[in-house]
Amino acid sequence: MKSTYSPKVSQGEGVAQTPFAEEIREICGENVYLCYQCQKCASGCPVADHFDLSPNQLMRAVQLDERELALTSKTIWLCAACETCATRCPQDIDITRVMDVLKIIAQQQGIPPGVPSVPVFYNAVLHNLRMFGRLYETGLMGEFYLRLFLTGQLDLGQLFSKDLSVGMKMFREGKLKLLPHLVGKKKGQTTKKVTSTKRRVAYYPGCSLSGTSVEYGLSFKAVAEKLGLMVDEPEGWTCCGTTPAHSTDHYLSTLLPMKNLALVEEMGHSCVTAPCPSCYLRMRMALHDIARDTELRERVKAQIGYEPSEGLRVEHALNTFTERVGLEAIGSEVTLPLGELKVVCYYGCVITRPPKVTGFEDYEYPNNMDKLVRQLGAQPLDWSYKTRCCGASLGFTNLEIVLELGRKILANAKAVGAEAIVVACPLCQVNLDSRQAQMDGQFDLPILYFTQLMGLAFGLEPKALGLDKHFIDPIPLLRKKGIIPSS
Amino acid sequence: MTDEQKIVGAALVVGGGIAGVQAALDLADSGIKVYLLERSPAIGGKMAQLDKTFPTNDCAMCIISPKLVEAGRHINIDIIPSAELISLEGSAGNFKARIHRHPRYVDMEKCTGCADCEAVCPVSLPNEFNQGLDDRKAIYRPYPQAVPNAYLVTKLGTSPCKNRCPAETSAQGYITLIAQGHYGEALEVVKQYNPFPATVGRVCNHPCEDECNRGKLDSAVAICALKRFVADWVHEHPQEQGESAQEAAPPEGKGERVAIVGAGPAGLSAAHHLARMGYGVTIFEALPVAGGMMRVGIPAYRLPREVLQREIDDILRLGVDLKLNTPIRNIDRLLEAGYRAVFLAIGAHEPQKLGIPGEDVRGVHHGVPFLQGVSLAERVGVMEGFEDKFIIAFGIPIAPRVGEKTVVIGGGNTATDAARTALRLGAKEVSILYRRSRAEMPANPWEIDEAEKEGIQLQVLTAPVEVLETDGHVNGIRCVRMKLGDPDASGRRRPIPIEGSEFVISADTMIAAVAQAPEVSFLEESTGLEITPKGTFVIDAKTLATTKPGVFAGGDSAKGPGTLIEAIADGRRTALSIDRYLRGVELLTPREELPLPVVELSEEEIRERVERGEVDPRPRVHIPAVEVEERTRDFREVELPLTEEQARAEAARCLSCGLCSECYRCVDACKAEALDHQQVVVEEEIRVGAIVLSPGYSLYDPAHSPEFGYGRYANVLTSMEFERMLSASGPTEGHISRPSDHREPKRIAFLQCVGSRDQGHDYCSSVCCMYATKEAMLAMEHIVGLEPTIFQMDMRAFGKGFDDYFERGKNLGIQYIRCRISDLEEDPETGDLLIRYRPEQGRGSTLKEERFDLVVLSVGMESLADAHPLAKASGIELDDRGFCLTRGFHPVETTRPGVFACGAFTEPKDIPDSVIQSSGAAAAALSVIGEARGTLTREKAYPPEIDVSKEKPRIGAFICSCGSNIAGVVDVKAVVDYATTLPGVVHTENTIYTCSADSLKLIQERVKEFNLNRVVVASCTPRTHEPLFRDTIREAGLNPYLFEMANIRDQCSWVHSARPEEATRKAKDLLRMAVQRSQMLTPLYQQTIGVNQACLVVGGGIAGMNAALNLADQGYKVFLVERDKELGGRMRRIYSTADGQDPQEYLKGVVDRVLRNDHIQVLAGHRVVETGGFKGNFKTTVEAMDSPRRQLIEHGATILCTGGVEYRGEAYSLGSHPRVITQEEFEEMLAHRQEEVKGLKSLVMIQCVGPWNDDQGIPFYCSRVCCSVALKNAIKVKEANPAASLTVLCRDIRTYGFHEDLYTQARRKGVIFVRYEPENPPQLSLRDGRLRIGAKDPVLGIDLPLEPDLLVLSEAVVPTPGSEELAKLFKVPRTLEGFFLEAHVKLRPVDFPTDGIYLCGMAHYPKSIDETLAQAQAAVARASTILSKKTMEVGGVVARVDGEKCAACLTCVRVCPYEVPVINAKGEAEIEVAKCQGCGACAAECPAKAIELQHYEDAQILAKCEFAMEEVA
Repeated sequence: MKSTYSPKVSQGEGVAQTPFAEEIREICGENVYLCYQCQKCASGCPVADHFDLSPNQLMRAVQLDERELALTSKTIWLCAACETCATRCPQDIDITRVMDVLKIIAQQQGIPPGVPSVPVFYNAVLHNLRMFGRLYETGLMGEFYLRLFLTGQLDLGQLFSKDLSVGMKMFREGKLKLLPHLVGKKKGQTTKKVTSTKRRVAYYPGCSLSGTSVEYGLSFKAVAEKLGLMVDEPEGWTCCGTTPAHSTDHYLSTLLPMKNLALVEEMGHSCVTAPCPSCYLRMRMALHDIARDTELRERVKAQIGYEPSEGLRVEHALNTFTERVGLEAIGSEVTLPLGELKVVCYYGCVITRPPKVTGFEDYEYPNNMDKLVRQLGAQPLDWSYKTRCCGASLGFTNLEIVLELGRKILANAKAVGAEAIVVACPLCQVNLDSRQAQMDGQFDLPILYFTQLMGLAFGLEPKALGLDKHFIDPIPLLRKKGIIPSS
Repeated sequence: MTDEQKIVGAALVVGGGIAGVQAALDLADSGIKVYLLERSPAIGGKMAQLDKTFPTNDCAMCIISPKLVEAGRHINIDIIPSAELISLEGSAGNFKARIHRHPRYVDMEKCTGCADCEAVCPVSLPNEFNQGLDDRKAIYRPYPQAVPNAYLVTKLGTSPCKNRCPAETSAQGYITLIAQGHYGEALEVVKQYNPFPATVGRVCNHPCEDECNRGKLDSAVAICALKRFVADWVHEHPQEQGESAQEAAPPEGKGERVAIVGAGPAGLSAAHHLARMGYGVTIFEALPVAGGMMRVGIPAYRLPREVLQREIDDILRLGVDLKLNTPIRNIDRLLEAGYRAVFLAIGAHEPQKLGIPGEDVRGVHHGVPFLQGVSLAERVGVMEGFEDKFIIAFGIPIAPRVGEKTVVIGGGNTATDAARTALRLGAKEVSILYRRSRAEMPANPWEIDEAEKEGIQLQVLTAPVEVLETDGHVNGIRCVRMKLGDPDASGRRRPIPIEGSEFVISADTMIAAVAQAPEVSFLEESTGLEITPKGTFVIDAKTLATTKPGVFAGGDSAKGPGTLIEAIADGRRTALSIDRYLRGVELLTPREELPLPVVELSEEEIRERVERGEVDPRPRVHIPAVEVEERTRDFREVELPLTEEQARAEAARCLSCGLCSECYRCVDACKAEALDHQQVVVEEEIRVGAIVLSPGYSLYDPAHSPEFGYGRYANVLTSMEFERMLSASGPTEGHISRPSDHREPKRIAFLQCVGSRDQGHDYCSSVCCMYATKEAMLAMEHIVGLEPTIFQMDMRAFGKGFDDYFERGKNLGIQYIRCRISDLEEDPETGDLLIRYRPEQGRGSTLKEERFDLVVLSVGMESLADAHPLAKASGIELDDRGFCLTRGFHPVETTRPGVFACGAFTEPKDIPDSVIQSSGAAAAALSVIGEARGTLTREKAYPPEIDVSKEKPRIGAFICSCGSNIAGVVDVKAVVDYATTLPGVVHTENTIYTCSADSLKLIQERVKEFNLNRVVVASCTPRTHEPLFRDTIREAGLNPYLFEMANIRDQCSWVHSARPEEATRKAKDLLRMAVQRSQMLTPLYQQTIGVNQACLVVGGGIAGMNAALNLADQGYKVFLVERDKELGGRMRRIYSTADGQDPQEYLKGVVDRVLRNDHIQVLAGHRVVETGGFKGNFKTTVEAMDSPRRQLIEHGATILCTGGVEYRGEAYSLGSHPRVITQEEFEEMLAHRQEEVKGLKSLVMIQCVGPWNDDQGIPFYCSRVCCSVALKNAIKVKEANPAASLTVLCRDIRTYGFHEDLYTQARRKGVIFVRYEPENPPQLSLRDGRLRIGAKDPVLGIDLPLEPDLLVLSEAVVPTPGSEELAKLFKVPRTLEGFFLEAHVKLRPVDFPTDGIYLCGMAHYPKSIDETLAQAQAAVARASTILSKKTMEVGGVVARVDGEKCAACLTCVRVCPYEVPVINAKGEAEIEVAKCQGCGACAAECPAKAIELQHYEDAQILAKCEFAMEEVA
């Protein structure tokens, strides 16, 4: 198995080409031949309706050496990387990773992308983070629209009717910043050595917690403080690269999290918590890959002089609270039980998936957020969409998909009687909250971070939890349920 | 030969599913004693749970039940249910098996299955047999047809409340009954332990509540208050008590008298129990009142006197003689006076003194006498004028007086009672002094609380050192402050005085209530009882026996001061001991010696039960009490009773920890006295020569696949749940309804491969495709217009007749969609389920979301849940998947010699394959222990036959409901009523299942009761059930041929299900005809003939050779006939196996062994030309292929195993193009021409090529082995030449079971599989001599340009040429495809309809090597059932010639299909009894009417015909 996604494709005529499936196996170790066309990937894919090739057909194209069919497909670009197919594949084929490899090959070979706006977005993101280290969302949007305009793909209708208004509101709420964040340690500053303990861990907020999901960041910090959980943010952390990185360059998508983990270990910490599932998965994935790929490990080590220690742990914030802090400790801080507020817990894709990377046990029907909110006095309801994908970053490039997926999620939540949706992912929150008005249907469902509910139950000020920054205003509901005073 | 080396003629079969039952029957029928061990309470396994079976849609219960009954009735099969194998020592031929019999709490011998116990049991539990879709009772029988037909009790252990209660009161029992409103019964439960429910319900320290598991959730159930409630409620509602709750009249006196000394709680309790057992009881009491401490120690505000008196009166009403004011000083006198036993329960009334100065001054009282005084005085009114000291003079009670300021010393209940009593006597200020801290106070905490509430001061860490006096009267107490030191012997911290801390408390009354002690000194020493240093009797702690035989002691006098319930407990314990002593049995039962575990529910378990909604969430009831202000001035009762509503709500909070509540209502209900709650696990050792393991499998639990929402979505069921729903005897009586709203579903989806062929299961469960089709088909019969859809990957219809079945399903309208479903979504409003799938394979097909009313998950087979403990116990190895490890050429052998395995324990498989394998395992066992056959078996003895020849017919007619199979359509009651009107019928009766063991017993009883001499059963088909009923009446002394049957199920309820009225009329008609014929029946007798213990095996392939070897091992002579000159058959052309064994080497070994075996005569190069005879005595002529040389063989049994061959057709230019070969040829190439294989760049294999490619009229069938063979060879290609491209063109890939591994391996290596539809098969064309195959990939819809170097055809397997003639010779049937047709595809897979002829191997149907080997052995096992006998019975229904009438016209000779009749020397036709098959052709044709078929005589048939018309006429 080769360590990176930099395939050497034989270009010469007449040279017997390695079968495509073999080539992919060489690159990433996934054996596409194993696919027996059961179609489970297709029937479970939330985005498959928009694909030109269903995931199993894509596997088939690889099996049959139909390179062009595979590399020019829309499918590889529309895949939201929700990991549903990879998790449920009876043959344990990491289909998501195969999609990545196909995208990378397509980009390297200069094959016109099936959905041109997606790589435009990826490039804009990567360019943005090369410039600023972290996502500068205002700049990113500007660059993205400019690039679209230059390639003649800009949908002015969408820009003016939808995106701009959302953007303006975010701007007003301080979720979009005028200026980029400056990354980098101040000169001469030495990092104070700290060790991870039961109640002290490193904290990797990720780009969105100071931007579009500022209320997540606020509420996380507030409840952590209340619970006596000390979190140390490493100086100079950078963006994890997220989907654009793993869709473009596997090495880059490993290197970026490694840099941040290096900072964590430099502080002396052996555990880092990440509230954003995407950051969390990228870090865990990097560790997972590096543990299995010596070459990759060596390359990272050669470049940044770092290799992760054995005991290094990456936690999602949800687990940090439910396991590290513990439900009992959380329960003992509850001063204003949430009055049987009916909620559904929405875990989204990658807190739990893929289980071999996240280590999550009940990944198909997780319960820890439900247990947490029950501890807070709310009433979590059973529903069918706990881990169904919201479309993730497709909101920037293929809004209609996100609206469609969001509509289903909201409809099911409403149907089971939920009064609000609780989330643990910035992308889920933004997609369901800021776009809710654009989905036909009078849902009017506030989308709350679990940390906000914790804060409310702990008796913290709504404002301190960023509850005033939502598109769907949760205050009336919270007043109605007596969770915050009506005055 | 020592005992240790001798071959034991017995076998142990572990697992009583269909496989185990078949193995047991085969072994037992071959002269082996069989122990059939089954973990669950009844045999039958999973097959008994099925509704119907594929591919014939036979009712599963109908076909398994006779087998179960046969096993249950078999004289040489010991069924041991509820048992497990613990260890296995020894070696093949001689094992020692240790087993554990788990307690059933019902004596199986005594239980009649009458169900009376079930009716009274208050505990409902999920019914496992119905997959939890309904409930059963804690005492139950798994299903109505269960064998053994005996009840059992589900007991998890002892509930903590019962365990903690000194009296072992089944609190869970009476609480359960209270929750259901059965108050009388509840009270009776209490009284089984405790005659003072109202008393104890008021004053008990209720340690049970401390242990109550409910306390882990919120707070304990208010057990004590419930006891009081029920006692009071029953007392107040005497008119509402049913008979059962009335105080039972004392049982018949046993004549023996028992003396009890002391009428306290212990004595009265013993009296109660002894009197109820029937003993004469006399109680001697020194005091003027009965009740002991209850009466004189407990104040009335806690225990009103009338409550106690009422309970004492109840005891006296049992006939107990109470002598008050009668102190006993000499026990021997009692014994001399005729009392057979004595119970000493004299209590502990002697106060302990403080031992401080001034303790004797006036105004100082001691606790117990103080309370006694108040109690006794109160009886006659408080007497004024007496101050200071008081005396207990019998009959002259004097009340003590208290001053204004009373100080009580002590921390026990006596202290609190004394303090609260003092308050009620008028003291203004009362305080309690205690030397330790509050936590150490022995008094009940709630009593201390109440005392404080009433204003009593508590001064802890204070001890009196001196009583101060003025004028000889108390005026103060000097005290010292204490601190706590180290714990003392009692575990409490020792109080240590603080120096210089003395102080004085003013007081005018002091009550020292520190302790009391027994006083036994009044007993004369001559009694010879040992006394402890503490002054108590020396007793055995468990039995309460003193050192003197017949004398027992309990209560405070034996153990020192204890609680009330402890004393009551001692009374009961003594009663039990005295009873056992007098009956001369052990004083302790097994369970008392070895108690059940206490059920400790973990918080996690409780939480799970809460989440499942099984727990009543209400908080503990608040026990009402009189307000403090009102109560402290008099002795009225403080605590108030619960209301009925409160009590029932409180009782509902019980978690039912023990499952069985031990209310023992079943004990009362059982008239057969079969209940025995004292049973414990019994360990036994069994000596056997061989073991057959057939424990079965576990079903996958779809809770592990939460994406399907099983358990969360109401309308998602497992296939087994659905099977129960389909079953007429299931929870819904065959009505399919949605669990969410009980609506009939219109659209049902079946999801295949749930728990099969996935990341956790790398194998195929083999049965799900077929059973889903079956369930869909049956559901369509139940619901008109039902639309079933089956979502699957491949249609794995690989067995005999399976493809036809699948086609039938398609034609009926079952939708098959090739798509595995990823997850399910529930519509929260309707409960409907939404399924997303791709309806079409090709590109452009979009996802479809469809709504279904019900989803059935086709769950797969997993290895047995407790396979590992069983493997450990039996010393065998399991494979990586947890299934039993067997090897390819030894399919029924485990890794331990002498231990064999069969059924789904070795690999997922269906019923016929399991049955075959189990017979195979039986034969393998016989090869070890066959020589010892007959050494341990018993013969069945029938009673002497009753001569009915002179009697007029007395007919008993039994009409079967067959669950609802018949009763659901036919009006059974009307048929029963009708039967009573028929001539000759003296008894009629309806039975639910006439074939169940209890019904059979009933028939026998009725034969005796009504002197029946004919029995008619109107039920199902005689084909399956007639032998059973005949044997039944034979056991009752009737000739078996005096039985007649009417098939009102198949011929009425089934065929006329839509027309119930007509069906009922027809049932009456059939019954009338049967009754009429039965009048004409006469006894028939069988005759004994010798059995030729040799076997003819036709076919010298591995099936034939292995059969021959096994037969030879058992000592039988074998003739092995093979047309080829060489032995080996098809296996000669097999060069490799999937698991890497060498078939050729194996074959060589087998051939060698066959040729060298003295018992086997090999007739290679021979064929059968003639055969005749009958089971036990066949004569067959064989002829050499190359010469007319003939040989006559005489044999007792025949096995046909002529095999199958690869079809060679013309399709795809086979035979005309050198690059087109068959798999068999390719196999040869792989074995011998490796270089050629390495040179191949590309290969194509086409699957499913066969006769249908040459002739479209020939229907397709699956040859079962070709997929696996092709994949095995494909893997070999890829191993030799990884670069070669290999494409397999196929319809489905049918790698069932562990063969799936081949499919995975082949794909992993890069083999490409392209599906084609039968109507559009791949096309072959030739271009420049090169092969070009036109095929389209259905997934992408693109044409595949396949130009292979080699085309390999997977050709069908067809029967060996010559099998057709053989079939004619042996007169055995064949299928359309030409394979031999077995007697019954499900349960008689190696038998022919003709007795004594068996089949196996590919001649039966294409199958793999291991399956062939198993079936060969199975055929041997079946043949052994004949060969093992020296003689057998023949005759009965045969043709009989009346020589007088015979004209020797030869008609019979010509018509007989078996060529039996001959014209003898007398010139008369003669028919050999043993040969005659009883077909009746001769009787029908005989022009002179000289031949009659017995049992079908003209008169009998005509009677039927006449009466068929009777109604019409």
